[in-house]
Amino acid sequence: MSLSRFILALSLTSSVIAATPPDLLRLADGELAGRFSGISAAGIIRWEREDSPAPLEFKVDKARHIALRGGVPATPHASTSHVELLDGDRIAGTITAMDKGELTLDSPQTGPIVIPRDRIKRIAPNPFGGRLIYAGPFSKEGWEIVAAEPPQSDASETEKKEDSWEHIAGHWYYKGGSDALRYPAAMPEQSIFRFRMDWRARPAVNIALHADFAGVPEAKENEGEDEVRRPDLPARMFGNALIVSIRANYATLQHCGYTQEGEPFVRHLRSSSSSVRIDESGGADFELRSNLKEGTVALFVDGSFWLQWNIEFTEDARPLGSGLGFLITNEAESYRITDLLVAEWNGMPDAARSFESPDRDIVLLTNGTDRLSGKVTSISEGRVKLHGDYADLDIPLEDVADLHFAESEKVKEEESQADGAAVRVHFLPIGRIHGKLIEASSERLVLESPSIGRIETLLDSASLLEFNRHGLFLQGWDDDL
Amino acid sequence: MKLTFTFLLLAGLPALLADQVRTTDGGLISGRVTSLDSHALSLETELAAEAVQVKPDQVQSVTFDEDSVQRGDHDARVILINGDRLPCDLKRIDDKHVHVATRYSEDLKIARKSISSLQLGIRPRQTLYQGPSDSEDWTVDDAWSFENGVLTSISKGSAFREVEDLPSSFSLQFQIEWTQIPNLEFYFCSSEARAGGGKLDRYYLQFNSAGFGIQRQSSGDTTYQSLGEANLLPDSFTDSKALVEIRVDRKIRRIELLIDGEVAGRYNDPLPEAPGGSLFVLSSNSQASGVHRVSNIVVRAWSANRDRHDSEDRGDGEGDSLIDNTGQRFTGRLIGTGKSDKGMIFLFKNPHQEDPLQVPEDRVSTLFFAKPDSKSERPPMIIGLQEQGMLSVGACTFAGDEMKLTHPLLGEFSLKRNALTSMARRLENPPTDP
Repeated sequence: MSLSRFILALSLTSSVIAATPPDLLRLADGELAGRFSGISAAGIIRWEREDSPAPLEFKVDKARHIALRGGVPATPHASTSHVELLDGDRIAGTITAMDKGELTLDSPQTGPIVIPRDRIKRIAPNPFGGRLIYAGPFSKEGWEIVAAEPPQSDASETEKKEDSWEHIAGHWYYKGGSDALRYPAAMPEQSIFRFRMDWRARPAVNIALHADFAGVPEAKENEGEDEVRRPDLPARMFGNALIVSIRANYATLQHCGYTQEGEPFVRHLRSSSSSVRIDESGGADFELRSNLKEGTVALFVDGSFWLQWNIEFTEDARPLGSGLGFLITNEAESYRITDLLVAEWNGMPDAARSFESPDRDIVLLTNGTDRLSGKVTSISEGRVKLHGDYADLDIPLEDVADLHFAESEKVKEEESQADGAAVRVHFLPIGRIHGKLIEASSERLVLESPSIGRIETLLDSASLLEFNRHGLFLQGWDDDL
Repeated sequence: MKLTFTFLLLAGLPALLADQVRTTDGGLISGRVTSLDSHALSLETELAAEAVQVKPDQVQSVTFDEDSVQRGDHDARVILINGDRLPCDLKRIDDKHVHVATRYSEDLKIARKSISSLQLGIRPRQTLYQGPSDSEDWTVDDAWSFENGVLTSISKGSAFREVEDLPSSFSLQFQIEWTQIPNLEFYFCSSEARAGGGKLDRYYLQFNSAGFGIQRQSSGDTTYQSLGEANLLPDSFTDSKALVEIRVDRKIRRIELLIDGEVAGRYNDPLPEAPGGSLFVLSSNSQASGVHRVSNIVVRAWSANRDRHDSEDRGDGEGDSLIDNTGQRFTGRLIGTGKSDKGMIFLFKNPHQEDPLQVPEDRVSTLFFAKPDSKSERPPMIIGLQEQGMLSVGACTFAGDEMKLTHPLLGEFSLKRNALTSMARRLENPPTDP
């Protein structure tokens, strides 16, 4: 029986058990609210609903994802300490020990776990050097889709256009149109903003930082309507903001907004260069580091420094805000944005990759300036032992922001192709683990990780289960959209 | 007389036969500056029997006789807490002072609390190639010939040479002379021993009637990209010669161009991978009777890190910071310098180790000194020195070939006149980076 028949038969309404938001199951042909109660070894999802006497059953290879509790974990953990694996997985937890062969992690997501050292890309006991402010987007909550032009007041319901953006499975998908996507992120003055963006052809995106989403000020009394200068689109969408425009072969930064008198303006901010080179079809990990006090914004792409801009604020400009947003300018193309992260930034001036050496481990400290390299020989009792160029150093783990292992120490990555359905479990505030699905209950999910082997993940801090029927987790587009 | 302030720092003026004083009303007086204080600037000139006195507030700028400026080759740079910059060579550091030697003054003893940062290894180091040494050194075609250490072109053609094991970062320096209008290309990081077009990955310097430019040639979609230009036209060089240095960092894909010892531009390569070749190709494109003479070609290993490190965030300034030439950065306390069997070492106390770190001098890139509590005064005049040096002075006198001055942080000392490039007055609210 197809999903749509269930919906008609059961007079679907969103069901809420107690005060917890429902889980949401998305299938190939629709979605269903309810409560996830497990997956059998035969690959059958059990789904409970108040209006069904028995759990419903669905084949896991027909499922796209399950958002647990509206994307909100039952037991969020505050720490952002985590280990990142070569296969892209991130496991949160406290690092308890490490020697030359393996690392032991005490994780709220898996319990105590041992990870081979040569499978680890980096460990981050204190990432960012500051607070994590936002990670997502695991739900639509807080996000706004804003039209470029207000809807016509006489437009009928059927004539109202579709939104340009759709939230699915921890991603924002852009489907065409001129709407902007905004989020009041509470970006501090010194912040890191990271996200992953994929596109199908020639990227053309405007990214708003430190936006206050201020509306267009009212025209002054002594000005006729014809005399009022209409603000450019970014200012109309984001108010007073910094706008980074990224194209295939250049990136620019503008400061847009309104003067104290309400006059719109756009100022192009200088950089030593505007040239970048981004694949016309593909994706990249972007990172914007902004320091409003120093007046700088730096762009990193796939971990490498690309550009830095210097901001000269003029006295007549209104202050910036703390929101972020996206506005696509080539409306015919498809985009996907995920893995967003906003954090306080400790001022570390350069990504570790710019410093990377194939034969050396790199340790970045939480003071935002110190960088050490050498061979990390062990971690124990909360201390990192580093054999450096000039001495053997003994560093408190609480002083370490990031530790990147030497390229030469890492196992060569192989494509992990699972036989059968693969699952990726997303955790808040940080963490994702993927592998071949074995089975699950409402509280635990067992999978076979290509890096670590059999893992039992604890779902109370999970927010999303993502399924891939082909067994290979890539940055594939959801062709059902 | 109260000085009123206007600021202009000159760079790149045409070569002059004497000191030139430019006044605020657009006037220009040539002569020899003999003194400057709050009352007047004195200038000896053939136009007057006695020295001409110009009111300080009427002086816009002074450019010293460029022909007499001695180009230096110091290996370090001290940045003082007031922003002044001193090219120098480091002698030693103790717990209170930094001791430096200079070619334009006596040795200086500078209080550590007066110093913001110290940069080392400014001068590119290990020489990988120096020539041309003989007629076999470069492979030339009929347009080029070798004589007395000079490669000369008389028509269109090319010459090439490989420098084996060329490191990722290096410096290429050479002297170029020309007649009529230059039209020269110097290819570097090339895998092909030929000039000209095609889908090849390399960089090249272009020098012609439009000046200097750095180009990127690529095997990718876009064959040619201009990385940047320096607006120095051939006729701005009085003797039709220039010392060119190109500093290349292939790791971060950045190129720095220096002309006659001064940075003319810094350019980024937007392509994801830098060319990996080790061939150098000289190409003359002169069809007519124009001649190019290229000599003193030197290729050295060079670390680009040092320039990047100096522009880093100082941090909270509570302690000293040491950045080495691999990019490692330590915060702690610089005890001083010492000696080892391999030369000077820096003793740096770091919280993560019991004993001080011992860092060899050739591994040190930049030192940031702890911020002092006091602020420094900023006198009204700025003197430009060779190698991008800069000093603030309130008053100075000239005696023979020396300038005597009193500096707010360095005290009284003398500078050789041939180290001076320019002088200007400071703005009332100057930018933080004068």
